[in-house]
Amino acid sequence: MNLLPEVIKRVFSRPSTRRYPKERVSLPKGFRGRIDWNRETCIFCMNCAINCPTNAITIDRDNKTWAIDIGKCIFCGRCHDVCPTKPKSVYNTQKFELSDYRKEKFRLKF
Amino acid sequence: MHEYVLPFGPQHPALLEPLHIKLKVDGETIVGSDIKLGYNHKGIEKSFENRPWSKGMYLSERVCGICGHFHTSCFSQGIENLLGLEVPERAEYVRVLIGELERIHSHLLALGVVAYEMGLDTLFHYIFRDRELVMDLQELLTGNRVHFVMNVIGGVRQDIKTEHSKRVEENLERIEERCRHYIRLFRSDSLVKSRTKHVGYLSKSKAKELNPVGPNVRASGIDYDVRETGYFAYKYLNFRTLTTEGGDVLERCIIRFRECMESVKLVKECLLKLPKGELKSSVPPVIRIREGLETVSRVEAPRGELIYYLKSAGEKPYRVKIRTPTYQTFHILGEILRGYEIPDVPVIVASIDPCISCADRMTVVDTNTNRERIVTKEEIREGKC
Amino acid sequence: MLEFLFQALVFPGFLAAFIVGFLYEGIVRKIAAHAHHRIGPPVWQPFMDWVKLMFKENIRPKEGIGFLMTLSPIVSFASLLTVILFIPIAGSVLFSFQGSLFVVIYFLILYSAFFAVAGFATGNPFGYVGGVREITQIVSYEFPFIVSLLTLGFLTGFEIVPFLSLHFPFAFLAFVAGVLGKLCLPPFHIPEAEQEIVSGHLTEYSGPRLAMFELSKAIGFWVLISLGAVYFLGAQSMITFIVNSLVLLALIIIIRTIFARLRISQAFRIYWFVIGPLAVIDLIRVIIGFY
Repeated sequence: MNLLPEVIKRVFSRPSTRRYPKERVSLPKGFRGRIDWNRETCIFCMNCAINCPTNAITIDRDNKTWAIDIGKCIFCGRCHDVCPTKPKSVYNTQKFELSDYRKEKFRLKF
Repeated sequence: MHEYVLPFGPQHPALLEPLHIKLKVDGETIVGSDIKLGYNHKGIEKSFENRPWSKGMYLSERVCGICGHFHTSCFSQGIENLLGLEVPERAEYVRVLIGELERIHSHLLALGVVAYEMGLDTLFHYIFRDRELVMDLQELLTGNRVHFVMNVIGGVRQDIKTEHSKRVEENLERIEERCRHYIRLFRSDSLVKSRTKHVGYLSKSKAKELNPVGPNVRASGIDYDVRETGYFAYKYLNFRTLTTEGGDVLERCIIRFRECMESVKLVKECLLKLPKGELKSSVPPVIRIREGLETVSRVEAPRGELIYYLKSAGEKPYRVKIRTPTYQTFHILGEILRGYEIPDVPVIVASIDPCISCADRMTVVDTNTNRERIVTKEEIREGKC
Repeated sequence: MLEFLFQALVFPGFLAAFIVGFLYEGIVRKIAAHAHHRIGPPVWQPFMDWVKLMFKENIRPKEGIGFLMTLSPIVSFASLLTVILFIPIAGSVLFSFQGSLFVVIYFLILYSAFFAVAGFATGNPFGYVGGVREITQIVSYEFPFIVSLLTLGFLTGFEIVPFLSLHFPFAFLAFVAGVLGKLCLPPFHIPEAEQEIVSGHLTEYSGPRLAMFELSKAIGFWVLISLGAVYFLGAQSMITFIVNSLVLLALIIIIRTIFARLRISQAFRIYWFVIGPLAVIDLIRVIIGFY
């Protein structure tokens, strides 16, 4: 019986669900989404690849390529922490819509 | 009426995680139960031994989704003990603040599940809506809703910015108001009371004998809370253990709501008293600990006392043993299920707040020689144990 | 002849029962979702679920009795649909005679009894518990339900005619409680308790058999709400019929959202020792002529 006033009030109010994907919630600034790499500032010290807990990052020094497997990435941000450059060459973006049907699409090459 | 065996699990719509209880039922009354765990065994304790200490932090966070921060706090506290490292004061306050926020969200999840098991899905949705207030705060302060990665060895990784404190206070005020409302509801709604009062009763003497931990034992009248020992910043805060008599499902729910309100007070106090200072002590990039050193580290997770035993083998641990609170609490189900009816089973199981992900560890005890031996994956595969 | 076919198959027969029954269920789910802060499924979702189920595979468990498992949904569906022929909706009724009330009561009990048979026929312990609970529930709610119908029956010659009965509030209360028990709605959604016994008597049913059970339940909404709208709230024209049906639907929705589930022993006690005696009071009032 005690729930009744709240139930009646709620039936006539706006629901708390956001109609995704038409409505999107704004994410806070520090949100840890997909990793991005900045080719210009990177010095190829290999710190991010060595320190990654799941070995998701592969770097080819000779060809100057940097690849990450977002299937293995746990979005912890450690690569960002250990990167020595200013501004950081490896950082979290706010991208979180990362699903795909094919597993090859998870190995991102920059 | 004849006796028959009703399987509760491993797959069941009422269970969030797989566990197996074989209920011996006579009509609708439970006369016995046989509890089996192990469906969620992930081999985490073995995985620790292959990683250096700093990478082990990420592994320990993933032992459990809803108490991950407590696992990393306990693990890093153990490593800091082994290194003889002193954590700066600001880092201790931040650890406590994030920990108390996680306690609130974990308790609200457990309470929502109890409401759902009673058949009241309206209350389930209301409690989960209020839990979103805490999840938003966690996302704002740490960058993710679960698995915060706040702890590093030697301190914390991120700071609590002052511009967020207004939002934190607003949400916490609302949560405190809602918790009060829910306590009134649980105590006064006749149907909720009929499903929770005098159900799943654990007496104080039985609790002393069986030794559960966490709010389950505090609801039976025994005050046991690791935060009394004053680790991290609890020694500077006004913390008191909450106990209550009663020992039934209703009391376990009420004490969780009251602990949420107490956590709100602690977070506000932390925000007020947050001292200026460093966020972490400096540690070498590769951590080496003298071989053979061992330590035990304890924290109060939302479900109870969490213990980590660490033994070092240089750059990696030699052995990490995790004693999670659910592992310790789970066996009281054999006692508190007896004599009640089938409809009470999901409510009682949900009221002890089991986290099976945390609880599945496997140790082989050799009853002939009473020695404990850890089995490796190869031994299991070859059938040697 | 043509009018008979129209009434049996289109309105208020099969087609109306099918469409409006699923619509009622959809409305209940939608409004309950809004009460929970959610948006909820679209109103025609139960219909889509039914269509999907009709295309799925029929699985028969080895311990089950296949003949009974196919028969029970058909008998439930058929017996419930027959009831609609006796209820006058906006003036059109197929069979109306003195004593039609007893035929209605008989068919309503048959509908529930075959739910219990369905539970036992699967050979599954969950089905067994669900079947036992269904029988216990039938024994519990039929007492106040039948008493409330008889109360009005004395005044209308045991024939279902539009009759406003608000000066018998206890009878109305007993009727609503009986409807909640028969349709497995909260707080009496005990035989299908998904938190305790998976799906109760409907475990092991899949595909078209489950679709027929869902259809029977939807038709149950139409039949029992129409019965309440006409017999207890006295609807004679189409407009009053619609208004009365929506009133009953609103009552069901409100009760559904605010109550937890009862244990079967508690439900039995409430039906026999609280609601039952109140209904008997109204019955005695009618018999001795004090109203």
